[in-house]
Amino acid sequence: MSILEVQSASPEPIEYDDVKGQRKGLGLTGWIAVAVLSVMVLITVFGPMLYTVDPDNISLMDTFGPPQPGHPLGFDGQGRDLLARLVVGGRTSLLGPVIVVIISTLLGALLAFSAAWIGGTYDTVVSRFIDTMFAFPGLLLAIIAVAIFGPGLMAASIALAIGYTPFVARIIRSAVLRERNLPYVSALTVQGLGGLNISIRHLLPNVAGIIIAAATLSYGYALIDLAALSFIGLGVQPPQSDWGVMVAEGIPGLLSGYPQESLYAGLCIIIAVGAVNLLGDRFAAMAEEE
Amino acid sequence: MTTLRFLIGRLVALAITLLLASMAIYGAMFLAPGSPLAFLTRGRTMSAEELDAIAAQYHLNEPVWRQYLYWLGGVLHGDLGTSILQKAPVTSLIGERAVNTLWLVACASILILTVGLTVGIIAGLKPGWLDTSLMLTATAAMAVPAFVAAIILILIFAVNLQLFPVFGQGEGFSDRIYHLVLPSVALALASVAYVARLTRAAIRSEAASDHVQTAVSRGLPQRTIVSRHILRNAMIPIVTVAGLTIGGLIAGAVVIEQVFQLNGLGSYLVEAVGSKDFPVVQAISLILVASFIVLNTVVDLLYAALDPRIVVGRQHS
Repeated sequence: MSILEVQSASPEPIEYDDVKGQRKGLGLTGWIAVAVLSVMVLITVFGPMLYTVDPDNISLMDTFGPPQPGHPLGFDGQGRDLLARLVVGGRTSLLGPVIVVIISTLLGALLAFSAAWIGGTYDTVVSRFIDTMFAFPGLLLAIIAVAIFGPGLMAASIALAIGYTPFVARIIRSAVLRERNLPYVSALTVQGLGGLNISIRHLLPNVAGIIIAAATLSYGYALIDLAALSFIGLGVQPPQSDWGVMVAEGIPGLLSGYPQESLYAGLCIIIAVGAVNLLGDRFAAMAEEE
Repeated sequence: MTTLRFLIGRLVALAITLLLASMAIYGAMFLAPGSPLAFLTRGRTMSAEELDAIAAQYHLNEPVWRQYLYWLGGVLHGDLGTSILQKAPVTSLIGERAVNTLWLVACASILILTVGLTVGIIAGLKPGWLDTSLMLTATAAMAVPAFVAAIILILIFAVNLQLFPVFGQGEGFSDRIYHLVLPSVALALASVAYVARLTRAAIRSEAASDHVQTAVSRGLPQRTIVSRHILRNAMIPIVTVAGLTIGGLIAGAVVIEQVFQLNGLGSYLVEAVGSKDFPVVQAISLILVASFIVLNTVVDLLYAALDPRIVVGRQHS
């Protein structure tokens, strides 16, 4: 067993390393994804300062109005400026998932590290708990939270985060277990380092790539689930803007020949999720290459 | 003997998971601010008799664990409580709706298993431009949330081409299927893409493995290699993920039923959340979670049937 490991860890021929070298780093698609996301974030953060049209101003003369100077995307069914609503809606749509990712990653990492390190009965209980949590789709958990605490993003985001925790925990746990069995951890234990110390100073940096990949992928899922929640009317409440709310509000227009609002908001979601997924896939591949 | 023990182990795990899930769903009520009675009757003016009836239904004057046991006992006897709004047994309210949801999930599952597997197998076995373009499409499709896919499908096929109806569930078999075409495509789209990508990856990694190389060098016919050596082994990870993905449809159905105004469990759940009819929320959540858990166990057993090593392996550990 140990001989096999040593052999597979021995340096490969140089040509092989060179071929692999082309795939190291983010790659072209990865950088495009980063660029797209950066532009989206910059627009939603600074956009309202540069494009000062009021997203809540109702102008019934302009209902479903086409683009005109000063209003490049035209108007929605209530005569509100579409671009202004997309920009402001992007704030909640892009920021909400951040809360979900932070909570689920912290909880997941905590569960995974403690389970992998302490092991024994504790590990069994945690694994059982994770298995049970798997049975609750995140969206359903968020809906139950809304039923209890009322509509809005806060309770729903926390519920969603709890729903995602088992996924994150399971991925990190297996990575930590794999790392734990490597000789260097035994060496550190022999040197007298405690579990907490080894986990934070040595294991955490070594599984960081996998944690980042899991967090990125769950950001994409959280964006979809929160938008879906707003879409069915249980998340962000109108008249506040959000991409999910806009897709829903645009449906009457869509059925009567004015699909802009639903389409633009849907397109924003697709672009953001697509970029995040590409980035997450690259991060996962990079973590594997290590 | 080994198989029997494995089977019993899985069934015990199933029972424990169901029990824990039911506790979580029941206990959620106590997270609400204020007393349970105030929570259940939130925002309604009710007579003293009605309040008493709700308190009696939930046995609110007894300790929490007994309340739970009463509720669980009722659930096991097919009594899912009484709707506060409709004042009728939840079981009778959701019967027809459950059938509608089942139809939707079944149609979407068939799409996932047929289209997803076919695309994945073609892409996996035939590298080249077709593979590249199929996988690019799949990657793009995975970024499309079901409700966005739904409005795009409605725009193209219902509003512009007028090929399919926008709303409703239809009457009779063929009309029902006709009404479910757009909803099930929207619900299945991202999962089809996911399963296709996974199938392709599993086939690629299996095709590169030593035992396949051996089979090739032994001069076995291509068809035998593909069906006996590549597909059978590649099926193992695919079955697990396809099962989980179909389980995920249960939550996705909530959103899709809402878009297409299908009268299913999901749209009723959203309606009940809106009208603060908590017994209905509880009952539907329990049904959705329980079906997901049962489905998972079925997948686990299927997995063991495909790969007997799992049964033996569990025993050693």
